[in-house]
Amino acid sequence: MSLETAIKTIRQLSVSVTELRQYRFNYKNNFIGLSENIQFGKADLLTNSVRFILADILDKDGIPRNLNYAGYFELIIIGDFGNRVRLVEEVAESLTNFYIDTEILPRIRPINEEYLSVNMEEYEKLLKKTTKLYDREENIF
Amino acid sequence: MTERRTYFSIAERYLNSAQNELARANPYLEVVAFKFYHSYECLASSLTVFFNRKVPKSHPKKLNTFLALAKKEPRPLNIHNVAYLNMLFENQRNKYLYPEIESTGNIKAPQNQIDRTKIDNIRTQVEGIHRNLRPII
Repeated sequence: MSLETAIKTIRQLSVSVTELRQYRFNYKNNFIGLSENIQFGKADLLTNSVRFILADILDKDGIPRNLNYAGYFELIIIGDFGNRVRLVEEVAESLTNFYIDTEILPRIRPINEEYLSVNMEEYEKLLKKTTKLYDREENIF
Repeated sequence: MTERRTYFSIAERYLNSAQNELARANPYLEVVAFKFYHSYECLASSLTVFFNRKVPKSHPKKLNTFLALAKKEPRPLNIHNVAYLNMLFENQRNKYLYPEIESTGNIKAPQNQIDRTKIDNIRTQVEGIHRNLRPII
């Protein structure tokens, strides 16, 4: 799959964070707030190497799941990271306020976009359970 | 020895062991990193017991409990520091022990996960938490 097609597929499979508003979900304001902070540059994790930030917080039907049960969720960072050596540290630094407020631990998972586009099939199930917090090329709000 | 003092003692032993390894020529940095992590986790457990709470078994819940309790009074710790270390260790802990299959398909060995700058940063932060918890535990 080409990178362009992979990007389209990610946009189709992942649910925009604004759609969380329709659910009774403890942390919806935290996730929407985090997304706004990232989108508008208040959370300082953005460089041009990051293309998408997705949170694996939905169940198989696309509904927010109870995050207290596991105590953590996966935060998927998709981009072209090259030789960036402090990605996890930089993301962790930018998420401290979010984590202090929610007490739900983000497990940071960087995925290289080229690898993802070649192996899209193995990620489709996962992507369907994600909400999109950041899209470099599109304003979510 | 009380449970909280026992956890604190384990934390100090791992902290000392990590410091000794770092003082050696060509230390095994991934081993040192895991020792700092284990020391940190035991410091977290000692504060958990201090607040009469049961120490959770799962790693994420153990770390989340530490953060929640670090927000209470007495508050000897910087909660931003605790939040950062919780996220860092949750993400890195297993990588200090096992090979990581990266998203590029490359296999990364534990010794390639950490360098001297990163370990010095972790050391400063874990030593600070140990220093600040010592008077109350």
